[in-house]
Amino acid sequence: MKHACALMLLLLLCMACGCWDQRVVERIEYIVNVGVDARPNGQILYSITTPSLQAGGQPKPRLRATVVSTPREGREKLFLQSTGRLQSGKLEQIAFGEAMARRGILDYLDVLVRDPINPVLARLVVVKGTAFDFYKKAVKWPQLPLPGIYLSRLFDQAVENGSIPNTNISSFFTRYYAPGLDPILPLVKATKTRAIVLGAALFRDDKYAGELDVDETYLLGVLRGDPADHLLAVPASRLARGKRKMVVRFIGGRAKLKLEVGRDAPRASYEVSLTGLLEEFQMGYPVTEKVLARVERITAGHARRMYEGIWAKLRRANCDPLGLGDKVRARHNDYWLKHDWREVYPRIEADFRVKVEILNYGVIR
Amino acid sequence: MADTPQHNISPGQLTVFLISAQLGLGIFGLPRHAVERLGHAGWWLVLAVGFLTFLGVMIVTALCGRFQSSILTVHRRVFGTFIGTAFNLLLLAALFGLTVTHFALYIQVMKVFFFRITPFTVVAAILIAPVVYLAAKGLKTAARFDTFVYIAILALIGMMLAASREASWTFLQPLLSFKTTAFLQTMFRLTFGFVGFELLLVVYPWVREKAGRAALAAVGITALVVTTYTVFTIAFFGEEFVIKQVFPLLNLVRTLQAPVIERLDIYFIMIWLPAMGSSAGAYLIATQLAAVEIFPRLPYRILLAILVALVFLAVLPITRFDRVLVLTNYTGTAGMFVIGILWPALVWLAAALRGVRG
Repeated sequence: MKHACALMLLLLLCMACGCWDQRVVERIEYIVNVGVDARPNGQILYSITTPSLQAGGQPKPRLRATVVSTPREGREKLFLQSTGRLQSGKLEQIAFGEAMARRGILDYLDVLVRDPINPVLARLVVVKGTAFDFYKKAVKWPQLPLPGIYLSRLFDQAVENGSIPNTNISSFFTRYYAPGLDPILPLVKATKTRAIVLGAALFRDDKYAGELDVDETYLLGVLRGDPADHLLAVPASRLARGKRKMVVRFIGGRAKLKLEVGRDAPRASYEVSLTGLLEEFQMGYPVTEKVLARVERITAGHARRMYEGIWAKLRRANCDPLGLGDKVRARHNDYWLKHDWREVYPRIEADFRVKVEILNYGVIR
Repeated sequence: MADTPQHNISPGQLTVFLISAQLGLGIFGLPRHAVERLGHAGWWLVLAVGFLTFLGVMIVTALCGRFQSSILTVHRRVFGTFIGTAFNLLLLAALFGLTVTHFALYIQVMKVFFFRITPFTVVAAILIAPVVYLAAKGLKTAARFDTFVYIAILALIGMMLAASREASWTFLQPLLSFKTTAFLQTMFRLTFGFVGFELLLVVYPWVREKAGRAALAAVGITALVVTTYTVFTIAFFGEEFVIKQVFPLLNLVRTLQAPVIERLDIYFIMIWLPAMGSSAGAYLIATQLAAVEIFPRLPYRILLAILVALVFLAVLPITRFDRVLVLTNYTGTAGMFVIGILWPALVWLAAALRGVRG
């Protein structure tokens, strides 16, 4: 029996030595960034960046692009120019140009979810202008690490301070398919020297339909229950003459939603509690208890006005990133079944009651 | 003889053997089938089918306990040698079908995730070989190896806890909104996620004591794990996205990330791999034990070699993934409702009417 087992093992080793699915690292070019831009007749401009080693061992990003119908076709076409097999296993970001995002992005994500080798945690972003131009600038950014690494760090940091939403391919799909819930993605632009995060791109289904700036994205995050640490410059003309501002660092926030569903459109009431620190206060007089109370009131009023602006933008874009539709579906299913949420959503009135608590104001009054 | 196959197992080993048989492969497509017609309330169905397995175990225990033997012996005692052997051969064929289906699914999971270019025959040979080794050593060794399933369950719980922040519990509401007709229609599609308990019909005489309690514990643990997992999957992906997934479990692990090592999916599958092998292995061993009882004159390992060769030959043509899924529907229904519940109940009834006892 032992001989038979040994023979069997030997046979298996012989059969397994082919290693059909082996991937030799030296023969692979890892795609780190992907860009997708709209082209006429349903075509796309598919661009990728890969790190390539230069003489002396310094990695240098390399940008390639091709016009195709699908991302996988694009990858195979670019493979014809490559020294190694192109693999997406280390993909960090997928950028969509504005025009492409307006056309709809879902179809171009299919391959990333279907193929288990692809990481579904890669970040999706919308870039101002085209993704190709974004990467064209990115590969020339001086004094910065490779674009994939730099952008990863940039986005991680921006997520931590709530300036952009924390989304990836998997969460985009979940939000896209969930009834009464819409996805949002980070919005970013490139300059000659670096990238700048701009806030959030609002999506109606899979189409880019509006945007929020970084402060608005943070406040939206509070409503969504995403914790963050965010600085907000608050106009303080009521505290001192001139167009002065004070800076509040929000370190905590939570929101309570009350949803009234009647015969007509539902009504949403948010009670928002923000806690923060007064980081900058240049009014020329000390912070007393009375002043602090005024600071809190002014900050709360500013946040409330911002919330009203955010709500107007969400209604205009007919984008429901807060999942009000999902909540109506869950708790008022009869209403949900009788109404078309896309038609109801822009008619929803929302009011915001904001309370701000300043925990401290540093070591000087 | 040290090398003689050992089959006597303790109640604890029976529990882990049955959990492995049910959970290792059955869990993969379960949430998708559950939400296909019932939507977000599909997890109720998973729970309901879980309760049915309790019924199955009670019937099997009543039957095998009455005779203190396997169903193969019961067949001959109740129906006589000729008809009894015919029923035994039918049972052997059914177990063989379930074994082939489990191996086919096992191979497909590995093909889809890891070995997409590697020839089917090579993947099949590599995956079947360790299971054959366990089967050659006997039920006891296999049951000991099956303890790995507890680690797999812990990994699953850990994964759900790690991803729980991303779950949206409103996806599960309204809690009681489903159609009863859809409930009944969909039930059959979930059976593959629960088959495995019916192996008690064959392994019963090898359990030292309290086989019934151990089997109930096994189906209880399985029902709890798969229901929790289905609830979590719906809350994590939402019903609409779950429907679109072939194996929600594999997509769930793809969303996990850890510092430095980044993707955790490979590690999770590495942990789950023994559970998958155990699931297919449990069927192979049960089929082998049934074959040994039907053909007592053939040596154990010769019979095993013939069985493995037949399984290998039967698996080879099933290279298409969608065919495996169809196969799981048929064999799952046959395994759970016919072999696990209906047939033992009929045999018990026949034995009671004829007044036959062990």
